[in-house]
Amino acid sequence: MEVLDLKENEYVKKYTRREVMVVAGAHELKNGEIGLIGVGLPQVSGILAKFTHAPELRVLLELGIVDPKPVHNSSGLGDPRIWYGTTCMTSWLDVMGMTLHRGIVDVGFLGGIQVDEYGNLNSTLVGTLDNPKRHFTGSGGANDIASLAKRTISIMKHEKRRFQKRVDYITSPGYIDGPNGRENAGLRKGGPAKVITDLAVMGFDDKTCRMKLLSLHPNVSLDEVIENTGFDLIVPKEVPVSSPPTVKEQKIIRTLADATGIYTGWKKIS
Amino acid sequence: MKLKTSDKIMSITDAIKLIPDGAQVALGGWVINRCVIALTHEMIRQKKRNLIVTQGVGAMDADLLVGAGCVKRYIYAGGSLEPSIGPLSRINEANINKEIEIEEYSGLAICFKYLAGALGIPYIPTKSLLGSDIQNMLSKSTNIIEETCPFTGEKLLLLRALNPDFALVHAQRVDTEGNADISGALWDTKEMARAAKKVIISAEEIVDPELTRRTPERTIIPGYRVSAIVHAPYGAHPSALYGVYDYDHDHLMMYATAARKKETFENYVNEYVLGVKDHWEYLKKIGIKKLVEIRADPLLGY
Repeated sequence: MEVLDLKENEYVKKYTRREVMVVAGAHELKNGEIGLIGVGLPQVSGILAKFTHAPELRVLLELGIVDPKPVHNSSGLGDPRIWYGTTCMTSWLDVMGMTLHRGIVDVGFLGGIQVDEYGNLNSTLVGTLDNPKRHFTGSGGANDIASLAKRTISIMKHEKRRFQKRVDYITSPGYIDGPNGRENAGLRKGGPAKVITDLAVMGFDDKTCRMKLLSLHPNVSLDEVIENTGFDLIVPKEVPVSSPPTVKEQKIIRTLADATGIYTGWKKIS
Repeated sequence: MKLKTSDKIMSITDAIKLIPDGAQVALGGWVINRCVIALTHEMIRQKKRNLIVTQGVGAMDADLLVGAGCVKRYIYAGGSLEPSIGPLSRINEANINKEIEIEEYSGLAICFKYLAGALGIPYIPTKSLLGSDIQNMLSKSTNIIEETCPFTGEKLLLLRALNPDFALVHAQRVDTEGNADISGALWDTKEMARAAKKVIISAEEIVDPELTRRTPERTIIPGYRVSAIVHAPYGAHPSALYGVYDYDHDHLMMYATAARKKETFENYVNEYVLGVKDHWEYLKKIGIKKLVEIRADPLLGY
């Protein structure tokens, strides 16, 4: 019989901010849900959730992988390391079409280079539509996930240039221009639920669809968040502190979900 | 056992000669996996021009073709060499500098466009892309149209079918009739191949159809859709081929660095593509040690 180790649920004292991000992301994924998980930090959160509180989370990867149980760090979705242990190797049409487009994906989890007050995500370009300065990754499956999942979580670094009032390019729609924005565009219900950064966790106001602060990561001040946000964030009177990793969570991050540290940078501090 | 002869089996050179300048060519790669590198190299050697290249998520094969000046128009859904390795620098730069025409969709939209093409219907409706700048940019052409559903009254986006002249796919195994055995995640390979007018398969090995009949569930593209078969071991190198070899991380990092600048990209192409006579010489240059090192562990698949 397994001996219950009480220490596993205690918080660790040393951790990176990106580990807090990954933990916050994992907590958004519930047991029994179907989740479409993007490349990078979302991938790490998905694995962490799966090996902690959400063993029956069904992780889907856009290129045709269902419920993998990887044992090695991967460099991305095209790296077969993240396909390991899958229960079904299938296609884009199956995962993104007959599952996501069908409307049965509970949660989509994405990265991005910019987000705005309505949760629209940009992973395509900086500059203007007619005169772009730099082109990035583009959509891949991101637009489809943000358009079609029942709710979307995004994760990125909290910087003023990334948190803009309007993104330079809407790759993946949030609430577009506010209340009824999705409806007017013809999209189904859904939209952004949370934005997770290295400083805080944000959600969205039910009425205005504008971004609001939900929790500050340990040792982060409200001023630091406001300084790094390029629009007016809704700030409630009381803001709780996000959970640091527990012993168990950090162990899974460092031995499994991000054993090489390329995503969370944990090797650099220890 | 000696293999049956087949007029579909040909050299890489002859298979690529089937593709005329200006053709619409669908590529089977996905970022750093199952890229059609051996076929791409030969297209560059034969100096193909004005190709219209289509692809779901952009991959290294397309970055090479764009960088080498073979492409007039690229229809895709964005892409990278995986964020932790690098961007598709040649494509991104050509896009920004408007050196080539770009039609940028989402991955599902490209997959749907292939599906419509494969089904022989002119367009397909979707609930994706709505309200995005992807829709805004594409609305300037006639490739997407916003429409009201005649049954439900809801807003739909109509995507025009894609029917590429050629689809290029690298497979783990193909038989002499062209039945292609592909394992691992499939992304849009099935729909892409069925949408195309002609399919060219490069494969790690060519086997007798009797072997296919023992494991027919592994056939992803049936032989009657395939026009040309090419033997190209390590034909996806430096990208990965599930169950056969891992991606060559060192080589990809070297490519990602070289591709950042036009001059260093050209040096790369001169050394690894134009500087070698054929795929066999390319493999010799990569070296037996590396090729053995990246062999997949059969338990892990990588």
